[in-house]
Amino acid sequence: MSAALAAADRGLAVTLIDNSPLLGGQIWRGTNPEPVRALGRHERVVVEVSTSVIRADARDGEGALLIVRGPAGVRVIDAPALLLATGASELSLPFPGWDLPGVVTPGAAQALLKAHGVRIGARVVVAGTGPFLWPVASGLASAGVRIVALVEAAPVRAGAAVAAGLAGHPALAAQAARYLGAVARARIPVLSGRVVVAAHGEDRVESVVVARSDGSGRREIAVDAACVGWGFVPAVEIARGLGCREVAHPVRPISTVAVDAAQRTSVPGVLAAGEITGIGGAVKAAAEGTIAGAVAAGAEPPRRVVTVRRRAARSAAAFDRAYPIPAGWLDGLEPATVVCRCEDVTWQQVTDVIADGIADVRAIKGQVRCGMGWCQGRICGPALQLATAARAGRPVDAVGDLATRPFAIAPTVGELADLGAFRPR
Amino acid sequence: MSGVTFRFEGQSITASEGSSIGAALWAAGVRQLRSSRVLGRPRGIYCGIGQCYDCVVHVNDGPLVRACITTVTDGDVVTSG
Repeated sequence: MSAALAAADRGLAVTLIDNSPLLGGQIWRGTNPEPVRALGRHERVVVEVSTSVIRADARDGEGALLIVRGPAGVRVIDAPALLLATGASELSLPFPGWDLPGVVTPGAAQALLKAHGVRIGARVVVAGTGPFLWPVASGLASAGVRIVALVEAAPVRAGAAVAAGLAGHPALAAQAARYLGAVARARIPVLSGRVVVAAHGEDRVESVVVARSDGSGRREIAVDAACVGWGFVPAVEIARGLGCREVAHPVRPISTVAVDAAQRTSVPGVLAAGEITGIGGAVKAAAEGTIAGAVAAGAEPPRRVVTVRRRAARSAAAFDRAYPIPAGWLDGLEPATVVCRCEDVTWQQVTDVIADGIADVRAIKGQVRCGMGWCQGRICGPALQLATAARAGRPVDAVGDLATRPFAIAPTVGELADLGAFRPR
Repeated sequence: MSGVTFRFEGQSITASEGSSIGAALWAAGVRQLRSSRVLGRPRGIYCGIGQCYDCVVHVNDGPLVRACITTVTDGDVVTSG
């Protein structure tokens, strides 16, 4: 949205495509009326919601050809310049019982509440790692959900490291203080240095087991829902389809789109902003968008915004270091634990293949169908990457990933026919 | 807000207009939306934003759709995916 406004203000005609029905992304979900209004009244901006990019290809010269699906069907957009701000989804790690109904991602709990006013449960544990757990736990609590524990894998001292990283970034520091204050006011017990190691129940979750990351100090907590998340995975598939150069994260199972100081990717006429250039939240995303929009219009980016971007990136790096994925996460997996939810592939099946000397996630996918189902590895791919690297004793960026998807969303055969992709003889 | 009524596996469910199938079922206390393909394990909403496909259901005998991002319509007959 920031990019669209910045580019349109400088004279470009802009089409803004958002796959959700409301502008603002997964966090704001239409609750930030100011930019939405500004976009709505801008004569050079066309907003298309509920519209998804199926794939994008680099165009001759600069920019991209996009195949999009909207309410009116599929069509091709010829874009001399393209800004990608495709965001991120949550990182899930399997544990025994994680596929029981009632065990969800923190984002699912937030989406149900924000979009539909539906509470995820009455007695809920919020667990995993990272700052996203704070607004989820406090938001649920203020909606009347009893948060019986906020289970944070990082030790208490992580907070101090983050506080240092937030120095010089008053807006983000205030936001963090607000969320943590809300957690404290709601009297949510925070269990630091602990993880959810199992979920129990018959056909829905009835309790979770919380332990230190070395497995000691196990304690069972009765719940009717559990929200577990481990940070975010940038949604790079459209950028990858275009051939944009990426940078693999040294320890997390993610990669980000490489950009220069002007937010330009390695593909001419294609820019990127937000989570896909590095997980960093809304402040960083908006700053990058404003810079990219100005650059696309051939203008100098505002210097003030360049400063905001630099500070936000520094804070993001502090969070990244303070909330790592705990090294012991694999130890709690049982042979029967489902790793790939779509295809019901178990940890036993995965370890059998790795024990045969196969240390490449795409080869494992080919052998046991892990990541081959409906979600195309969106959920299990990063976990499989982490697990394979750990088991094979290789760096996390040396075992491949499952993020290559020729279609960012699956087109129907009919849609391909409508585009003339199939020509009957 | 006006309400809509639909059926899930024979059970009558009332939801607010504009609700997703998944949210309406969750609010009605339904957690399991289907059984997994190979092991027959109970499954329901997991990611809530259309990424994981664990909440897929049939609507009016149509192809599988993701309950979490599909808006319910009055009179829909929803069956397990």
